Amino acid sequence: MVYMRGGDIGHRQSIAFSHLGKHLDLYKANGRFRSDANGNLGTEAAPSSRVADRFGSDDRQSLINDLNLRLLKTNAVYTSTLLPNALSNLQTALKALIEGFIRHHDHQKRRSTVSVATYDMQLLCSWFTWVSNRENEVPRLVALIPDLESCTANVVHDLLHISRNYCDRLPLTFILGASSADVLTTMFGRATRKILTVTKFVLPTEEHRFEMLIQRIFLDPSFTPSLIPSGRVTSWLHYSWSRFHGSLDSFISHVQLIYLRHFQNPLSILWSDNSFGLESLADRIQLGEVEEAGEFLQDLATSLDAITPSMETFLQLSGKAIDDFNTRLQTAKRSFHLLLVTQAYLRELSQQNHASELGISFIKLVGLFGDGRLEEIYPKLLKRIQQVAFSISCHAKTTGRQISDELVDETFLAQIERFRHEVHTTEQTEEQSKQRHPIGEDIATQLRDMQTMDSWLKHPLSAVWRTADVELPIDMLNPSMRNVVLESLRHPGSYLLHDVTSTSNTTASQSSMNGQETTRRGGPVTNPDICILFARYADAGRTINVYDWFESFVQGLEAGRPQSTKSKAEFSEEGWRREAYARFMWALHEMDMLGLLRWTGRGTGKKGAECTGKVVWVTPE
Amino acid sequence: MTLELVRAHPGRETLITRLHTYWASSSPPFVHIYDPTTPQDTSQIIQTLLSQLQEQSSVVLDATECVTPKLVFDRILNGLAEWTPDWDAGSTNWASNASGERYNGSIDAFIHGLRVLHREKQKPMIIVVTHAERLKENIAGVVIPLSRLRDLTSLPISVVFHSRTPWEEVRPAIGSAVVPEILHISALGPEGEVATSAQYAHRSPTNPDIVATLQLQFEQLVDDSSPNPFHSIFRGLFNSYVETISNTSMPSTQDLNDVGYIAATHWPLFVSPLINDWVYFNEIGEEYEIPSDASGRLYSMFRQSIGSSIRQLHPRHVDALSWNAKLPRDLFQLRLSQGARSTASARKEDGNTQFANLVRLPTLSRYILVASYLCSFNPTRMDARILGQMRDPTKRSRNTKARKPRPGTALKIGSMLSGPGSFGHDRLWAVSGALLEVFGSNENPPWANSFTAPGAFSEEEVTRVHFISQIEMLVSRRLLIRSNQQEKIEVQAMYRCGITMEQASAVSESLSIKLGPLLHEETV
Repeated sequence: MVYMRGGDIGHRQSIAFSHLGKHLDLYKANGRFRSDANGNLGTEAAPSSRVADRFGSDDRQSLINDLNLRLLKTNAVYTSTLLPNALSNLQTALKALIEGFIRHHDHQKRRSTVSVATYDMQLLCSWFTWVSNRENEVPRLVALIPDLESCTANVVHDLLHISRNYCDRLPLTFILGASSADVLTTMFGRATRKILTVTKFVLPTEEHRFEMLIQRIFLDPSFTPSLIPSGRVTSWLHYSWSRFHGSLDSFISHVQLIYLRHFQNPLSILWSDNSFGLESLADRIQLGEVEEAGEFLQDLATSLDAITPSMETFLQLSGKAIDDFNTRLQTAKRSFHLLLVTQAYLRELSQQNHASELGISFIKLVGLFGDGRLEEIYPKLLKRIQQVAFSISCHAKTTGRQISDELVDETFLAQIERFRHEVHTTEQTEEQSKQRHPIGEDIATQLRDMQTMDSWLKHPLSAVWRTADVELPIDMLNPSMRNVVLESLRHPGSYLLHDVTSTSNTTASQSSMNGQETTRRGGPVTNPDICILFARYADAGRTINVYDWFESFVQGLEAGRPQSTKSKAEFSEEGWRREAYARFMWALHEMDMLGLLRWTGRGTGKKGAECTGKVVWVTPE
Repeated sequence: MTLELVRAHPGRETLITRLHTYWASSSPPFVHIYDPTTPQDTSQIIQTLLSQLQEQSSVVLDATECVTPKLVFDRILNGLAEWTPDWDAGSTNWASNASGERYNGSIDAFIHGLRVLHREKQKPMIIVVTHAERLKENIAGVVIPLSRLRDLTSLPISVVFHSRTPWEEVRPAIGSAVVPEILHISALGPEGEVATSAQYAHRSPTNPDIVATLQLQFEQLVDDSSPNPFHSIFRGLFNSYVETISNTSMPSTQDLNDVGYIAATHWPLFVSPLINDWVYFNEIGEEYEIPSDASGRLYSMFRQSIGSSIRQLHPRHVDALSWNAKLPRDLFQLRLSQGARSTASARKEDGNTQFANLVRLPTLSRYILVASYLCSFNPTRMDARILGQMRDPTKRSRNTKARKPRPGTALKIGSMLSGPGSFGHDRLWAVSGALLEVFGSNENPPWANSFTAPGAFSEEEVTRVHFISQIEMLVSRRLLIRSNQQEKIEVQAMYRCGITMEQASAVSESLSIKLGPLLHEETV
């Protein structure tokens, strides 16, 4: 039973990038720049703006697509997207540029012989004149190049040069997407830069984006995600994000995999989401009637104190439980925000000496939240907040920090504001500074309530909506190629699905699927030749004598030699030897191709093929 | 009419008069304008001249656009016939009648089209091809027919090639017997064509033509309505300012447009102290007069700023608008009368922001970058020794004294001088893995503890699929250079490091690695 739930991530994506809405104003801004540029002495420029973003290429693609859609929705804006393969030569580039603009109106057939060519800017001009007569305001043309670095620099230069020639007739704006901010200096010469008036737009840092994503998806009190990540899952997401990709698309696929993994948990049978609209949920009752489910239901009944271990009861229970769980979670999220704000505020106050509880990163805090282990730090924070009013009145530090976080509940917000206000207006008299300020107590009381922050975890059914510490699917998304190759050579059974040592049901059924192989050979399945060879390779020292290797390989083959009655007639000793030799050479070359051999140059032959060196040392198990 | 043009373009008198004579009376069949320094200016002159001609029909064509002969033929015929393709009518080309005869199929059809056109118009024709050097790249076959167009058609056609390169490089290697009338345009300035005229007889480092042109452009922008940088009151100041800019930028550029660009960018800032004063005096109701020493004082205020703006604007590291936007706003609030002696200078770019885009890369890419730098500048045999020492400092080998080179051996060139060496994929991942093991162990995720064998986790990290895709990403960003062809499968991929030492140390600092001890020849 598997549910894929990418829906809310996709929805959130647009929120996370809402700040990119600035782009929409870019082309207007460019119009202004252009008139400025003309007003100045000798300043020549074709308007262009640049998105210098730090995404992986997939993300940049989707960002540009998103931008394209938004631009298309705006009045009197036409866009044309130029992909790297179009920008490999000038003719296709011009053609793609022009066709991108005219594609919506290109209904009537032009005769290629008598009409202007499709790569002729005259065509664009004639279309533009026609469109401007039709529209009330002068339309603007936006050309998007999502992946500038993959394009040919000369072609891009020529394209910009030609566009500059039409600067006064066609209001063209280029939006260039690149992965490094200085692409114009590294990739293009001065001649190209001279054509452009560039507005740079650099996206926020990866770390910031990740925090924003986590906050908006999992910790926003106004939004209920269908699954709460545990600490291990959060740290895995962060690990992949910061170490490998920093790309939103990969993030989404990671989250999808986490959902997949979550539904291996039998309890997830109780999971339901009305907004999800799955019809198959009716199957759950049937699933409960399956014989194998009996034990599970019995266990569930004892842990939930239910009277009858039936699926209907559990569904009813879970229906009630979800509301309870969500309320608890909501409170916990608000408290968590208060904690974050307090922590950030305290950190501002003591910039020099960051105490350990203040230095804990956001990701770690989220992890602690997910695991319900926040009590590890909050007593320290509590102690500190009680001292804070005292220390503040000593330093009378004025910080202009505003709570811009609209996510924090209003009541908490009011309290924090009141707290700040009082702190700032406190006068520095000896008397007052000696007193412990009551506000500290206020906040402390609030934070003491943070015990509610793990109450959602104590819910008996919390495992339905929280990912457990499942085995993380890192090897599915980002496998280590070398380890996979070596592992498959050492234990081919698990890859070829004829592992006889395994007794689990699944493997047994799968190996029966593979049964043809078994029966055809008429005996136990032997490992592939290269694995026989590799087993000897692993046991060898620094170098291997190829002849000895061959002899040993033949011995290995003997074990799996066909034992049919006709063998004496068909397989003479000579023939068998020859076959073994051929198989040895085959396997040896396979290993050579894999890069597992280093030819030492000793002996005769092209490679000095008498002795070979090892390059891989496998740790014995 | 041409007099105005001559006045607007000082130093281009000969060009204008000659072109005017050509086109007004006896036009030679083929002219090549060789203009290595000021093509933009010249093409502007040509456009203006052509627009003034009443008796001839003309067309200007940018050779960059000419990707096929069809496009050239279409453009020339449409331009000469003053025909604009109409979208509603299917964007058809010019044709003599509704029959839809096509003239773009071949050179013969094109010549036929020209004849038909001439029969209709009965005007001499002028065809100007700018950036003519590009013709040879795309459509070399058209160069010769174009240059011999008068012979081929026996019509009064004059073809002008305008190019940065001499005719010898524009013409195709074979089959060119045409000798054009060559017009060589020299650079503006004292050595230029106007050098002998009495007007600029005195020799000064200032380029008089550039100064004169910019002054003319100032005149066009004069606006006396309110205090603004282009008020006619600043005319005298502007003249001396332009001379200063022209002198200062002399070592980098003598291009009229470039000098104009720098001057225009800096001018509003340069006069802002005066304008502020002026506005202030207006507010208190007093008459304002520009002090006589204003020019010198302003120049001493902005000396540094002018120098830095030339260094940044000339190579276009920034364009004028972003340069202006980057200036601190209070710089525009200075007032001359308050005697601000402080030298105002444009804010320098912070070292951190300079490499910000490198520091923002995912962690493993940064390890790859540092590893690539080490691989390129360290000898292979030192890898194990250097990284081994890092791992276990007690094993530090005794620092052996530099050996004396044996007499007779070739002098060894330092690795920093010989440039980045290339290295294989194996070495890259091995060094990255070693770096990750030594320096990255405290960033490991919690499940790394399940790997008991030393180095197993790091080894797995650097053989992951994403690690390889990171390498490809760095190659596409030109931070890592692939030094052998990608198409070959059998050969190991070879790379070269694409970052400078400053970049490498910025990246390694972000990973809290000290680059210096890792280098064989310590330079950091």
